[in-house]
Amino acid sequence: MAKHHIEAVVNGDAVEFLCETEETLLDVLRDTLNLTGSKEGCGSGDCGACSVTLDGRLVCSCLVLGCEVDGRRIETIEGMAKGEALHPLQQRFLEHAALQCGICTPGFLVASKALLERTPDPSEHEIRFWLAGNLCRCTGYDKIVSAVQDAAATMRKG
Amino acid sequence: MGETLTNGHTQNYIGTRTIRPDGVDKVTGRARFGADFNLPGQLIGRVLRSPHPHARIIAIDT
Repeated sequence: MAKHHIEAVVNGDAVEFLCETEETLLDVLRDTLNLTGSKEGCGSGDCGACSVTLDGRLVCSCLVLGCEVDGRRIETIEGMAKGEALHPLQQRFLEHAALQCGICTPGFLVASKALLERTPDPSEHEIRFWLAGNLCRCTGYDKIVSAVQDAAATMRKG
Repeated sequence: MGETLTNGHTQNYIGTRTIRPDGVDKVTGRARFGADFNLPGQLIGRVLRSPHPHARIIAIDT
């Protein structure tokens, strides 16, 4: 079957690409658009390493097909920093040592950003609940939660 | 700059918080891990699990 011709907006840039029916959005991002910041941890929606937002909604890009995103808006980790200026979440993750190997980090950051856009002042419980779909196997979650709380405080100040 | 210890000595690393050197690359998604490379002619290994416990492998159909 012919490939699908898709036009979408990724991190504010208009992109167009061809993809097979069975290719996931994650495959397209990583292999076609060379945006390798989104990671494939499990490929089955358990680990959250491939988290992106699709029209503002947090999704696992391994569970979305490339041909589903025609005309839609995608945000990935690559769109989070503005040039060299890190997003407050990225800055706080560094300061709180909330990462080690870094495979889960893009997913945690994308998911945390989606949380703070909806809930600017989340409780620890809300943060842990929201991030339950992201797995970290080295740092543990305490530092990640404090980094998110600290970033939320910074962002509320403006 | 540095941390002053109780004995008056200033330390540049001990007792200070440091930002990991690969941190910025990792929080921006720029860090390149093994799976992020795609080279011409690259071979990719896959795990093929046996559907049978304690079986002898006669052949693998690739």
